[in-house]
Amino acid sequence: MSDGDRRTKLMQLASGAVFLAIVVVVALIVVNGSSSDSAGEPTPEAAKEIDRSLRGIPQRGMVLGDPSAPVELVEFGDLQCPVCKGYAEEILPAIIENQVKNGEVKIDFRNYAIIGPQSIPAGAAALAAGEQGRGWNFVELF
Amino acid sequence: MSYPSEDTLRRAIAFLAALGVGVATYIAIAESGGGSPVCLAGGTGCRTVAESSYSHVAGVNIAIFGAIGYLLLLATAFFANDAARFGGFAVSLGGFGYSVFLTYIEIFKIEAICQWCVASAVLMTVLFLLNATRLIGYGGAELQEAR
Repeated sequence: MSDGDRRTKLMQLASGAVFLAIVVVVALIVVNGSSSDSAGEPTPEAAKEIDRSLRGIPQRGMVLGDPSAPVELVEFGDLQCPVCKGYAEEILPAIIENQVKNGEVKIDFRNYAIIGPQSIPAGAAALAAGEQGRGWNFVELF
Repeated sequence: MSYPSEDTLRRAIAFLAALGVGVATYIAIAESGGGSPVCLAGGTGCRTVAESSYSHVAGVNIAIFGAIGYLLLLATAFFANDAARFGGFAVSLGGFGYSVFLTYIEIFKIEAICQWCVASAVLMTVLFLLNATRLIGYGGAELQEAR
């Protein structure tokens, strides 16, 4: 095969590879653009599970637990904050189960919007849910 | 049209691929213990990106795929034949395409930017341009003509 033939064949292969890459990247973007990231998305099942875990615990505004509990835990959190999410998933459930349910501790959630503009409506929605006695259901689901 | 000599292109590819191996290895090591790379200008972008579901494919950190890609590109810089020219082009094309996808994901889905991912995307883009120049300029050429 001459240099010219080899070069023509290489260019044809390269053109095919570029075409294939464009198709794959566009397909990936379209698929990911149409499907939301379900890992962190609230679902009816998750809402029911949170209802179950908070059942029987008094809620007043953004305070979860017996209002006369001797210990008050105040959390300053941003609903978009990944560290707060880690705390809510790894540490908080045991406190709610072992100390809040038996009236030893009450937890006061205070909005501390620092991550971005979307933190503000998220915090406002939490306060609105708190006015209806379901602030902690919202925070936990979020 | 005149192109830089193939030796110059190969040296540049080797240098940038070695940098890429360093960046990808740092990201992989930083995330291996459940942590995240440290954003040099502060902020939580790197942590947010590292904790997203897009940071792993089939349970494997994508930085490991990146490190393998950069190593392959580094290897292609050591040979002056058509297999290395096309191999370098194909690997950098794949890396560039995936970087475009990941940058889209960072901006529009995760809504956070990790400087280390941007650094890798820039390196891969330049490597793609260098490898494309190498293939277009010297593809099909004999070794002695390429020098």
